[in-house]
Amino acid sequence: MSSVTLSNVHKSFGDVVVVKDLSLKVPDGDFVSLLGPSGCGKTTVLRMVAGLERNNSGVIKLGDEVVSNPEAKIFLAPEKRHIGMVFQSYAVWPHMNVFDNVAYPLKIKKLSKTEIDLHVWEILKLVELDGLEKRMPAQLSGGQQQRVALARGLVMRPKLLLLDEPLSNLDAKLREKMREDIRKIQQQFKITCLYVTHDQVEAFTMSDLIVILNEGEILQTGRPQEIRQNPANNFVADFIR
Amino acid sequence: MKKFLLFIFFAFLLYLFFAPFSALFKHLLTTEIVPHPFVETFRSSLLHTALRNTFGLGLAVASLSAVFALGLAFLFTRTDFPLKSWWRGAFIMPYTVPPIVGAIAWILLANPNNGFLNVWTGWHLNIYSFIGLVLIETSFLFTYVLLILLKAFEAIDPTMEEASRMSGATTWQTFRHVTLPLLRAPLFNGFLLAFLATTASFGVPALIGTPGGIFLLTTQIYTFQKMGSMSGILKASSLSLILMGLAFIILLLSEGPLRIRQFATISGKTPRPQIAPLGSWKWPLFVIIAIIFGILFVLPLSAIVLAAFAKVQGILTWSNFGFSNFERILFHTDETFRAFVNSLLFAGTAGIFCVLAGFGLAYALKYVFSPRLKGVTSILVSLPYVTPGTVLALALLVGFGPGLFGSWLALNSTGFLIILAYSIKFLNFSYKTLEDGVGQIHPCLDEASRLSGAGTWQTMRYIWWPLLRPSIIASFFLVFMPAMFEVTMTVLLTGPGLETIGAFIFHLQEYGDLGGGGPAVLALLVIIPTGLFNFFLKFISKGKYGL
Repeated sequence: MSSVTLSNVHKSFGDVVVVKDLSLKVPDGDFVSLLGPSGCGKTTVLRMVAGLERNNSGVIKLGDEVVSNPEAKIFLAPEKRHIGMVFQSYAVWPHMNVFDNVAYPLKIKKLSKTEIDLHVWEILKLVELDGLEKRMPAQLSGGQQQRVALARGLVMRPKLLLLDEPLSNLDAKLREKMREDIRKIQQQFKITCLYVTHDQVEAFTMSDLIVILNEGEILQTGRPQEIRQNPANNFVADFIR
Repeated sequence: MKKFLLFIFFAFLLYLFFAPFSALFKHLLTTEIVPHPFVETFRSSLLHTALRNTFGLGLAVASLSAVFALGLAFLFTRTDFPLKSWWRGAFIMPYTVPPIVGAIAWILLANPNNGFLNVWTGWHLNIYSFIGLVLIETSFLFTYVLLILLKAFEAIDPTMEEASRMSGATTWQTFRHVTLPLLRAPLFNGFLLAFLATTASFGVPALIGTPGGIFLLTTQIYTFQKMGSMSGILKASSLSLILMGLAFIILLLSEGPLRIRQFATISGKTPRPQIAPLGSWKWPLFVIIAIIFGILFVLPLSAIVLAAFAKVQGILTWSNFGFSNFERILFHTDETFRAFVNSLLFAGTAGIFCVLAGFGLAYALKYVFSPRLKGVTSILVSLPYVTPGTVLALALLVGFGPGLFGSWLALNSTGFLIILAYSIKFLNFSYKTLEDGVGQIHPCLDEASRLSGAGTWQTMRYIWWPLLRPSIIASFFLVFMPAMFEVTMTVLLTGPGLETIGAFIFHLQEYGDLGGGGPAVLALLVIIPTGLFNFFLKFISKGKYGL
């Protein structure tokens, strides 16, 4: 397990500044939500932690390891960071069945077939997909595809799991069940989670810590209870209402 | 009343396509020549050789095109290859140039007698060979695969690849396990399209293959047809049926067979995929790509420019260059002026016909007939396009040569037959474009105009025309451009006084123009307007059509 530390991280696309001088610490084993309106830079923060975007300046650390520091020309490729990620669009590969999708990270690590079988079955049971392992993604519902993506993110026992609005494409009822399931799995694995959402209900029901972002800056960081009782400013108060 | 008129119009279009082919069949079925030409053709070793050559060339060109296009598409969409958007435009350019121009250039460069390369280096290159055919055909047809693959690479949801990277896979592993399998269908379709285009090609095989004794089905059909005898025509017809059968089998193999779209729309939301750094491979790859580009395109183009301006071929002194070839071809050769006028007239008429017919079809399918007919119409309109030009021209010659509707209007040796050939062949382009255009105009715009008191004509004039103008202009040029320099069908349908640019270049080259500069001059006069048309088209459609 591992903590995440961002120090003075800055990111712009051309002239557009997306993340301004952001510093943040995600404690080991915690479930931390990045909450904010669309376009506030929260997904960009997540993608910089993943290594899918490069920060222009500042330092990103996973545990004690610096994974990105442009000043020192340090950048660790995403495949070397050992991070699980669940995408908003699920990104379940349409040409592989459920089993192969989930087994992929282990296959890349060149694990033996018996080891792969063992780990994949365990995870499939956990996300309640056992029995569907031969199905192709096109034959799955949105909720089931979501579980495939989650299982794929967890199967290699990553230090850190990143979730980018994973529930936004599900219907209200399913969303509620998945919220509980994700939280349960997180506690069982004791895995550090960084969760991006624009839905304050999701953030408040799932998180140990909430980070409220707007226009690339942190407005407030705190436990759900603290934020609810003492919103830092009018924007926060209005947004969480 | 409107419905009835449109029905007649539909029937007329169907007649235009099916009558020639039924005539072709009837011709073959009713002949009394013994042994039957079809049987004779089938037994003939000429057919076997032509089939073997056609298949061999098709496979070689399609495989090479697929590999080359896949590599380029990957470099241009997924890596930090230097100047990639410039390269991308440069490599797509040959798509708009008629391949016969390439044949002319390579004859100048590498004919065994006095090819520039042979003269200057002492090599013994012979372009009149199978390798020569493969080289020239591939240098044009790989663009078909490249266009399909560029679009496919861009259509892949970038998170599919990102998910793979997050699973611990490197760029190369991601390409192999995720990107490549997702590209399987477009790659296969591109391969088949290149194969199909090779088997249907005529200009290059006629100028490069025939002198080297390498006959394909298309050039064999042409040779039989030019014998002029009844038995020759029947043999040509027999071969045509076989070639057509081959084309349709390939189409059935492909996924969504007739949905092949030319001038793919490239605009739209482009997601940003991960860009792989090429690292130390960057500059070596750059040099390799630049060399390939130089050999495939810069070298042939330079040869054409040199030949067009040279007074005596192959001599590289300043005093040897001038405008004498231009003067001779443009002002002292009667056919040149006639060819330009004819080409403009035939291609222009075909363009106008296709715009009208395309709009009629698109409008009727949206407002008059059931939209369920759309699928059938789309297939019917694409059929002539995928029919090899040689076959289509022969069918028109046999079917409508003696007369339209029986013997009511003899069309043999009239420009009308050429216009008809262009119209039928390229209707596909204008229909698809206009169907898109009409589809984007919501019916409520039409209804609002009528409720304001406007009649059909006024609604057309004040609502449809302004909204549809870009699509109409684009659809005209999409027909006009390929028709203007068409060679394959034209050489079968042309006659004295009916020269077009394509046919004229073909004949100049085939019969060996004195001084050798003639075809090069004309080739330049083809390349320049194609580039200008393309630029104009892109401008008028705001980047939607054109390259």
